[in-house]
Amino acid sequence: MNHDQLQLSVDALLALAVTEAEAREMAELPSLNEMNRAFEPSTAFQARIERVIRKNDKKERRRKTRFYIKRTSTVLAASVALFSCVMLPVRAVRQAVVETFIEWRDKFSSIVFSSKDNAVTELPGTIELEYVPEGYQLQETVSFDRSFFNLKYTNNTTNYFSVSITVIGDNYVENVDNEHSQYYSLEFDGNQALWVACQDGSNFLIWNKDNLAYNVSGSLDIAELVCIAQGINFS
Amino acid sequence: MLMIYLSLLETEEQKNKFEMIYHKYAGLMYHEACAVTKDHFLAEDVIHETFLQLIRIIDDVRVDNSKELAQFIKIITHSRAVDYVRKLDHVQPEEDEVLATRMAQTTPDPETIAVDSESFERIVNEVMQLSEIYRAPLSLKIKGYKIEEIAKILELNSQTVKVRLHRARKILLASLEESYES
Repeated sequence: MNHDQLQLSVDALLALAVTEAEAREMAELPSLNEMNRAFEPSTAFQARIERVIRKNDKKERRRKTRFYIKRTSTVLAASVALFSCVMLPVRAVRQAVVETFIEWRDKFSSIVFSSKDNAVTELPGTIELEYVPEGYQLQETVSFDRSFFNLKYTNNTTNYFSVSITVIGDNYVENVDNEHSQYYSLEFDGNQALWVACQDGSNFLIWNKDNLAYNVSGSLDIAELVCIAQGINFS
Repeated sequence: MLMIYLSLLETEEQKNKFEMIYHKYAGLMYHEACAVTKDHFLAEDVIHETFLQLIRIIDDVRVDNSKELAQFIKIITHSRAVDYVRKLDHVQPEEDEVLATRMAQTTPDPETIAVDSESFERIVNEVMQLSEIYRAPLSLKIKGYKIEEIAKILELNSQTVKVRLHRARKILLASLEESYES
């Protein structure tokens, strides 16, 4: 057995191990030419693809109609929320260096926070929650590069909630379903937030403050999520 | 069949890129899809889904290095195949189970690690057995893709990508700790 040891950073070790694993797996495969010769799509498959693509085109046209109707109503709601920010006292307006956009895509929307102020590069500390609903226990803590922190709580059933805080940097994107969800504007403690209510009963509360993007989500009702959001502190 | 896919692309550059991938790697995709689904017709469905996915992300696909491109195609086909089989079998993703069994939640990561050939071999094997939901984002991150790019490629939220990268790291480090203890 070889006892010689190498001192490596964790990232370097993982990169080496993943690269080695991939190289071994690729080496075990037949050549590309052999694999290409073995691939013969059936005529039934070809016909199926043509039918699927024609069906998708019709579905796409119907979805676009619903999509534009829904987007118009939600952009109006978001505009009211942004406009209300402009009506805040002058000091608060000067502090609004983060612009909020909602980009509508096929099945989801991208909530984009775009910041002109890159002074904040790290989270100010770890998250602490003043309020945790009864019966919920901390299941997992995730931190990434000191720019992302996430807490996940569950109770003994399938109910859960999650709190994430991310440094916005140049921009921050949160993708949320828009096919089976309703969007509302909501204010708490001076924060203008977006509330996404999903058909499956889950809720998302998304807002930004001091160049940090906040996301409180879970299977709880919105009132509970707001209580959790109000109790977020840094230690 | 290629013409059907090309009709979904807009620019000549996109079409040329897709055509190269189709001609060179369709067989690799089929081989990978068959390895997961164990069925020719399901593998065809997976390939079709993967081609549609490639069309969606065609601008983000890097074609400079053929070896890395082959690995990239393998990763996304494998990931798509696993999702497909899971949906067919109505199986829930295994994230929570892995969380319960393999996570070292309290100890911070070391800055450096001493590795010998035996522990390196162990971690390579662990990578090969790592669940697809962790392996795919980890492989793409090591290839230099940004979090947002990985999220777009794997059709995930960028927060989910960060969480899975964090968990992949923890699982592999836990495995290394076990090897030292034994």
